[in-house]
Amino acid sequence: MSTVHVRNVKKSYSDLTVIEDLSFDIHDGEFMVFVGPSGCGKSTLLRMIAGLESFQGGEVAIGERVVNGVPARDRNIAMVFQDYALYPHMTIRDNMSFGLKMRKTPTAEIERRVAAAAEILQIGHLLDRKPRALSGGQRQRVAMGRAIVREPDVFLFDEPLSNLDAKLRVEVRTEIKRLHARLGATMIYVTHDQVEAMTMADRIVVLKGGAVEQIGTPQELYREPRTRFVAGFIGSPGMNFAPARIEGDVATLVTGDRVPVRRLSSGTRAVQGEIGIRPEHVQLADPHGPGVETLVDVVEPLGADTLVAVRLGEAQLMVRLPGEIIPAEGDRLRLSFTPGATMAFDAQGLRI
Amino acid sequence: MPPRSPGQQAMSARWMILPAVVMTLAMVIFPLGFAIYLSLGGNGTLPALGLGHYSRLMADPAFWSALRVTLVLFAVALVLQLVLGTALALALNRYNVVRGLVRTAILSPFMLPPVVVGMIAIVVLDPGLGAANWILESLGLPHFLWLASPRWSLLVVALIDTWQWTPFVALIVLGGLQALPARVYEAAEIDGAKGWSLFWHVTLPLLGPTLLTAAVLRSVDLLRFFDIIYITTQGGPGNATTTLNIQAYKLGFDFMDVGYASSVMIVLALIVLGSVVFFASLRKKVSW
Amino acid sequence: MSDTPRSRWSTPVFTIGALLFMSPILWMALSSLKSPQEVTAYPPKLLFTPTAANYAELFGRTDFLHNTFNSFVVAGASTLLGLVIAIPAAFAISWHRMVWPATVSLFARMAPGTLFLLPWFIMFSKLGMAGGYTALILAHAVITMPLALWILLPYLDATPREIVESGQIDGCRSGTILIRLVLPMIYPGIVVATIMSFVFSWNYFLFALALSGFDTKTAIVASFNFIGEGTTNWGALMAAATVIALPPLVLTFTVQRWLVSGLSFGAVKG
Repeated sequence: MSTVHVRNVKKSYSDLTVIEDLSFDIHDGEFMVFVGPSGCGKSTLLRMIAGLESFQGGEVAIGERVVNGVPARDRNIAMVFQDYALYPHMTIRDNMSFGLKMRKTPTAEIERRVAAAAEILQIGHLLDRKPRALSGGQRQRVAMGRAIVREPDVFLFDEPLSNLDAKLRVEVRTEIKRLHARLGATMIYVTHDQVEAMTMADRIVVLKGGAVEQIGTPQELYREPRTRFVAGFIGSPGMNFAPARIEGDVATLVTGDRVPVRRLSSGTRAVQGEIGIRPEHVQLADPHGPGVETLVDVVEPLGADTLVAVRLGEAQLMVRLPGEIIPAEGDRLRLSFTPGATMAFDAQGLRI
Repeated sequence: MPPRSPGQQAMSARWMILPAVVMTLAMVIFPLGFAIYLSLGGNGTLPALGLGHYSRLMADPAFWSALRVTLVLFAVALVLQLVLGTALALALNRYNVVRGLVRTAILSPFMLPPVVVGMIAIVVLDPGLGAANWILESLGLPHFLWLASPRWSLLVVALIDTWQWTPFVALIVLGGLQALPARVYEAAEIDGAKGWSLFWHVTLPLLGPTLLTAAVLRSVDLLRFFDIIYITTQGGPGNATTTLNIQAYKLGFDFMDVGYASSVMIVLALIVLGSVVFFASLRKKVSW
Repeated sequence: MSDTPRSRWSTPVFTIGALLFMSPILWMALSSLKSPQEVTAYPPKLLFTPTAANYAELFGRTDFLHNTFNSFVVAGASTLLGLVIAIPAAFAISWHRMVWPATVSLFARMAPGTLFLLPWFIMFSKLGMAGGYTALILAHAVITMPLALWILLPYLDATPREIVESGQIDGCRSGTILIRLVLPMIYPGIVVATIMSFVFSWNYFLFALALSGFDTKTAIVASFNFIGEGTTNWGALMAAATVIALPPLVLTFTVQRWLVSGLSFGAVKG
């Protein structure tokens, strides 16, 4: 178990900047998730911590030890790869023992750890098989088992669920969480799936274009996104945006509707920007209260809820309505926003 | 292992190429430089460094004869092998018979040492006692001098090489044929193309890159032609089959004219390089 | 494709064609079993009593056994040397996606052998290595090393990078990764590279012709000398040819399935 510190780390290939000046700390025993769209640098960041990839500036420390220049083999980390990277010519037992053998761990100790990990993951009956005889889900477990036996300072996961089918993915997600609770180890997990990030993480680092957009707990990212990107990325569906002129605590939409917004900072100067509202914070308006007129575009009944895409002037909003309300295409809906849930963003996409 | 973002790997395995680099420097790069040095009169082959060997070359009828022999052999054998190889590949592809004895027949010739092929040619093509003339005789045809004919020996050498390497060309073309998109054929059939016109307008253009690959591989070998000639005719009769490579070897090892021999070899190396560059420049034109 | 009606006669036709095509090779083997009178008989005899006399003469009255041994030494050692150099180099080239080594080795493959021959001859003479095994083995490694490299690269390129990375995390240095993780995965490629290197080295004539000494003469060079000895003994010559042809043919057929697809693969990749 260990802390991890990333300080002013930079990386670029020739003239392409991949990671620009990143700093953050991961606490001991924390489950940290790096999330972002493909190409945001999340895997590169993980691989830099692993010692698989070099970088140009700054430092990475595991515990108190700065590991710049320390090869992966000497970092005492374990990694679960996207394609599992099991050694095809070795049995499952040998796959799990290999890292310990390379570190000259006594045989009895290796056997004890392999048996213990196999027990936790329920793969005891597979130990003498080769990887090709295993299903995708079983291989995934072996890959985790190989990491567990190492008892590393830090566990690294590089999109480990992306090769599993949807149902299995949910199961293994729970299992990894349980494993984290049981081992109490520091874990860093990379994914492009915000649902995985929200359900598993203690804290999340949202990355975009090689830079940190925001770091926080899932609740913080959901409730107080600091940028338009985070607001749109987190949540399913993500936050809706509509262009507006924001003046004080009131936003004027293109349609002329005036909506109260909850601002982070008080400002009186009028700003051309956008308002943001989550689908679940929109409801049918009280006939006598305030509301905006919208036109129904597409209706997706999901059972418990109904997702409705509506048009508000030029802007398109996704709205989550109770399952029993199923409007028809072309209907006019009068909608209101939950008080205090409407946010404001400036033209640069920063929350104001 | 190539894909992955264009990153810098933390683990360096560059040192592992070192033995190969040392080997290449010692056995290829240094000798190449030394050969150039020799051709310029180094090591005492000329009183002073210069182009003396090359100007002697330009005035030497033996060199021009060897150049002509090399290019004729190259052109005749290359065309024969490409045409016959493509025809064989089309037949093999159509009837899907590449197994058992047919596969053995295709692989055997080019796996044989050329020296063995030469030895077989000596026995089979002997003008007096060889099986080839006996076959001609049985068919009511006159005897032929084969490799002893000053006029035809070069063509006979080209035919021997064609026997050995046509199956190889066929294998390469067959691979190309089997990689052609089936959809294109369906589309062409719908458009009404079949038989010869299908081959001429669809198959052949699509085979361009494959034929080019075969042409490069064969050209490099044909321009450097040595083994079979050295075994059978030693360049004769007269100098009817003396290629540049044979001439250079004789100059260097029989007459010990090291500097002059090197200049012939350098010219030959440039010709080989030129042919590869020429074919490489065609690649863009024929690729699809 | 409507090839079903034709397949009835296509197989026999192609089989007969294959036999005719291979008749020179069969002729070689048959001639080697004829007595000295029969082998030069005209018209040639198709029916005869086979005799091992030519082989007895070849191995009993000449040094051909020793020459064959030399061929095995040179081909075996140059194959080993080529592989030992090419395997790590191919790993490094593939891992770092280097481009220049391919160009250099392509040049080495294309250059006429005679170009290196005179410099080598002078080099080895100065070093006192002329005529010895070492010089021959080094010269033949110039053939085997790039060949093994070209054969191995596609196999290495097909090995997942994550295996190598997993090896690093598991505590291996690059050498250990190559030997314990990558080599077992590219085992088929190593077999093919070994066989092809051996065959090419075995078949190569020019270097041994110029560089071998009296004691290190290979079978191919020795049999060439038989031709030169005035009255050519065709029976013994064909026996020698058969002996020389045997290892490449046998080895080739152990990997023939791969060869047919592998050569096509290389061509398509162009």
